[in-house]
Amino acid sequence: MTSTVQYSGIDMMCICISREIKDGELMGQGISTPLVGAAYMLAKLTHAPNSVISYTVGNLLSIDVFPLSLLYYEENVIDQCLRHWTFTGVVSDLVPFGCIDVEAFRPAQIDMYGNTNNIVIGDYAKPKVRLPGCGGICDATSIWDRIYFYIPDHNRQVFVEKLDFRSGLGFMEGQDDQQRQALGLLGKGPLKAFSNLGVMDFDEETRRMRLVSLHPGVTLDDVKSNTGFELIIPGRIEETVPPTKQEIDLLNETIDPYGIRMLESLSGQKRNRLIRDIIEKERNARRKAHPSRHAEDRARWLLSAKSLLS
Amino acid sequence: MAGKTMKMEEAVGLVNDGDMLAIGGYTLYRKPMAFIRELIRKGVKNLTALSFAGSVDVDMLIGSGAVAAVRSCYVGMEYLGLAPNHRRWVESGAVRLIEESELTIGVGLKAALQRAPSVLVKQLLETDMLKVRSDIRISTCPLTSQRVVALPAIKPNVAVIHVTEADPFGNACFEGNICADRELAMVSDRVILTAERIVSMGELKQSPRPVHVCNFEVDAVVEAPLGAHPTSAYPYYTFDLWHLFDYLDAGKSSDEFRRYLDRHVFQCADEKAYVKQIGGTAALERILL
Repeated sequence: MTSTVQYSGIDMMCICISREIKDGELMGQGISTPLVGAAYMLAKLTHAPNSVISYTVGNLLSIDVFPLSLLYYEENVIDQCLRHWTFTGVVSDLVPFGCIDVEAFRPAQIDMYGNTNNIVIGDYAKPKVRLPGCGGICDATSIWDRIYFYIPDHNRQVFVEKLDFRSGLGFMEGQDDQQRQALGLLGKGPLKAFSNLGVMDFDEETRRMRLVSLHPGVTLDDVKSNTGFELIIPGRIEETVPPTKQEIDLLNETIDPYGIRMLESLSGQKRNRLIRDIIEKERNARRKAHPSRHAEDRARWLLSAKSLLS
Repeated sequence: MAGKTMKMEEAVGLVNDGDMLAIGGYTLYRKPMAFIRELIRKGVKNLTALSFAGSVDVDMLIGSGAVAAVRSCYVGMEYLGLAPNHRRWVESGAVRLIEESELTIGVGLKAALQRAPSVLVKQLLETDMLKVRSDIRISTCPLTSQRVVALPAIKPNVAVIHVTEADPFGNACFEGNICADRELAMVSDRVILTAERIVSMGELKQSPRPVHVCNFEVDAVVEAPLGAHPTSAYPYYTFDLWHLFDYLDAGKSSDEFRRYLDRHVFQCADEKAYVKQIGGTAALERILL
């Protein structure tokens, strides 16, 4: 007996990341990565209930599960905080010491060895597109052992033969563990890349990217024609285990009822329309009573702000 | 203890042309925007803007022509995409980007606090970050002979930090998203606090939010209700995405952005006028927490 479960490429990637989490692990979430946040929540609600999330926004650790939000994300993470940290502390203690077990990053470009770029498209001195920057990706990729990537739109602009800038460390030009050690590197290199088309890992010998599985409905040619370098294609290609009804229901109903994770696959007007739609809904839902430990404080502030500003 | 309260127009006098200005907060959270608007009115030049993670703070300063260089590991508008002025001015070469990572800023500030000239780390090896920073070098640890990267200490000339409550002496509290603000307050030569409310020291100590900045670190305290707009100030208001959409529309061209600055900065004598321009206190309703 099979029933059809409706899901998107975003959902498939989200579920792939979620399935990598082991119970009790500390998961790190970076800036504007709702897909990753949703994946962690899903892991917590299924097979990894004791896991902890380190949130970049808020600079804190949390063990609670709460729905994704745009307008109230900061408030939610701070209100649900288990332990406060500072950003300086997170990036100079928690991250370097390797306390964070697992994180998934989104590269603007990735090459066949899992090196990544989040700095510029085009020449560094005269870029075609200046990107926001690498955040902590270059820090984490050179010392951690559990690095994953996700690429919402698998195409030749992202999967490139040659990076415009190497800001995230993969397997460089295919160096093995010994050579990595000789170079003074602490991390073992990335583990897997999940795209909207399939799952890739890295060959143990050559360290080159290798196809592991195709998502349901995706053909080998879809992947090959959208990858700007030669992927290693194994003799037997699996089909990615599709989402279960439970996973999709949890995502749609409990974790992300507004569909915020879908922003990861949109840009321009489409993205803006979805954001406007979500924030109106969030605002309207908020108009109902919102009990808070800050109620008295907020009243005092509002009184003061209004008297000073009007 | 001497009071350090002053008006915004006095406080911006602590920033000189050519300074390394550290901006507190994090992306769209608790950015000292009222101060930045006043700084733009003053017409300061050639700043190096240090923002751990920047958004509209760095972008607005760049778009006003106040910035010569940016030191950051992220300047973007989070869910809303790229920061338009940052993109335009860096791509044209008009603003120099000093490429940082989270670690290079975090430990750079900590090194300055230790009065160490540099710090040795294991990160960044074999990345192109080393190719674009002549002041970051591969080195050998003198004690262990390990292959390491030497990062420079970072000591800003002046820091501006937006807090929820400050007393007149410069003690201040806020909660969550502490960012690099505690280090910035300690390490910077001059420190300006802008505060949602100025309260008595007694009330500050009663606040549910912890004190993160102390009076001995601080040179100026400025009352600035709604002073983080259009970014957030937890637990009072969230970021104003409605306004940020308008900001991004204006950022599409230099001429349009100039008109944004005219409307929201130059034609507003002060923050009271700014709040009137964005729709008065009634417009607060949509961002209130």
